[in-house]
Amino acid sequence: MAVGIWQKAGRSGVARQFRGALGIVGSPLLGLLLGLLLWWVLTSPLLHPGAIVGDFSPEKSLTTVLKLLGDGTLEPHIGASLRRVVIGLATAALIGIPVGIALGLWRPLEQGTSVLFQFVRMVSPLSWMPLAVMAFGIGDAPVYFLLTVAAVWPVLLNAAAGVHSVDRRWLLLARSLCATRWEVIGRVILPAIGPHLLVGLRLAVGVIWIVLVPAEMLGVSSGLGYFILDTRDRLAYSELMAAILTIGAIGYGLDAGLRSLNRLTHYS
Amino acid sequence: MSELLPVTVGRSPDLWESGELPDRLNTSILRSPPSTAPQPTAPQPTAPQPGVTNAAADRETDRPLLTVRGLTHHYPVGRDRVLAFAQINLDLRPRELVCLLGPSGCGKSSLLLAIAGLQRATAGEVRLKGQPIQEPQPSVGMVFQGSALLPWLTVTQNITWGLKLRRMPAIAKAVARSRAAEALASVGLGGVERAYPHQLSGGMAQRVALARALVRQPELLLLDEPFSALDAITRRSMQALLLQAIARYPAAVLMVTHDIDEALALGDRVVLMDRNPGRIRRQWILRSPPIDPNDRSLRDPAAQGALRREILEELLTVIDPVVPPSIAGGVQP
Repeated sequence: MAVGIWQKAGRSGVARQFRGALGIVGSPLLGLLLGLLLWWVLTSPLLHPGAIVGDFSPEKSLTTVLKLLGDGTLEPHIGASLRRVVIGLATAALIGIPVGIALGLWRPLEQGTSVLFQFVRMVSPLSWMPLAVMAFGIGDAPVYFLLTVAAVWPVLLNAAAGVHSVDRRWLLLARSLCATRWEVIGRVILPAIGPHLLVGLRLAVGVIWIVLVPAEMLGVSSGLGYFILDTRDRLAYSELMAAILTIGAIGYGLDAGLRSLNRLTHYS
Repeated sequence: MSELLPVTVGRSPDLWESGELPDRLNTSILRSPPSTAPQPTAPQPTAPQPGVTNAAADRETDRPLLTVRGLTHHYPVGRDRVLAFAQINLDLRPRELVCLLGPSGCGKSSLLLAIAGLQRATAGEVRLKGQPIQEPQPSVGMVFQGSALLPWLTVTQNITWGLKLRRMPAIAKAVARSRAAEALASVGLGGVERAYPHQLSGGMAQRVALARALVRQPELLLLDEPFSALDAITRRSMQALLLQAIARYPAAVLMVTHDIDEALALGDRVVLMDRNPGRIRRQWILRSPPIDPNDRSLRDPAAQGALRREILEELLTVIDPVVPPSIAGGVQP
């Protein structure tokens, strides 16, 4: 029924114009504008005459972002957060890729660890927070630990899935050309699972970025997560919103960057 | 020891005892010059008697390159073991092109894997120039039904891939590249060096796969139905191309096929495999060693009427042993 109505509307002039606008402006931008409108309405002084809510409004938040970027307040926090992303991702890859390949190659290992891994994976990384602080003390180390725990699973599971999907004929061919076991792993399996690894890394970055902010609320004195707590304590609500906007923008940028790496696997 | 004679193919003793004809009588020698036709009295080639010198036995072409003796393979199915092939005896001389013909499921691909050292047989042995093969050898090249090109590498990179492995002698990058170009030229491909496999047609990809095997200058080339996935016209041109390529890279070829016409067009020898289990049933010699690869040209299978009919009848008996000879004989070549 809904389709029928939509089709009927499609024939009318208004709907055609609407679609034309979609085509020109682009639906993503339209969605963003809609979100902005909603945000503006919810924080509008018309609805909330009080001063505090006004600090959360889009116009205040956006100007604060520019101000904070201009005076260099945000940069060290962004730098610290990105450094943690890189280190967390690298550690997750260093552990996840070899273990994932080993799981994919050796079925008994995969069967033996499947329940254990699914169990551990289902524990929210933030649950490890107190343990991480007890084990690693205060500072960057527990944050790295939490990020690695969060990010290792997508890398590991995608690497294993990649190995499973490697064309058996390539392995037979490599063996017929007298490749050693390590040559098969390094020169067939590793490049063959490239697309799977990219998917795993992209998911890992997403998880890291989500876990990073709460993790940075934990005994560190830099980073965007720390900055959010700091603005809350200073009652600087427009700065808090500015931090949230920055986090969203950087997260989008990281994901887009990794997505563009997919072009490397043009062959698949 | 008579079963080790040059033209003799393997039969297990139980078949001998069941009153079937000895293999020697089952072997047809066609178009072979009398001087080179192997005789039952010819010296046993694999193990010459010590102290006995025989000029013919010492000639390179008379000594088998590949010797397969009593090769038998079972594969596990659940708790059972199924016999894939049994008691395979086969010799290949240098530069000889042997087509292993058989219905699908007769274990011929499995046999090829065992000969390549990719799959350990349950019993028997494979020797290459007298040395037992237990694992893949650099001097043995293999081409599969699918080209199995690595999709993330260019054509040239695919061809040089096998040259850069640890078990191969180290060569400079430039040398590898020029050898790849030469191999590509031998399969009639030029200008695709930088293309990726997904940009190639099936026939082109299979030529690259052949070049990848040839670039290592193998002494033995094992081909597992290499052209069966191609259309008829491409297949015919690929067969001609194979003859050209092995004239340039003189390797002995063992080619598995289920296509009688392919076997007739290419083979110096056609070996028919039985099934359940796979055994060598009969062979036909179309050209006897010594073989000059430059002399070969693609035969017209249609012109081999009588022989084609004979092989087809035999193949039909293999496929369905209850087909009466009258029906089998009625099949038009």
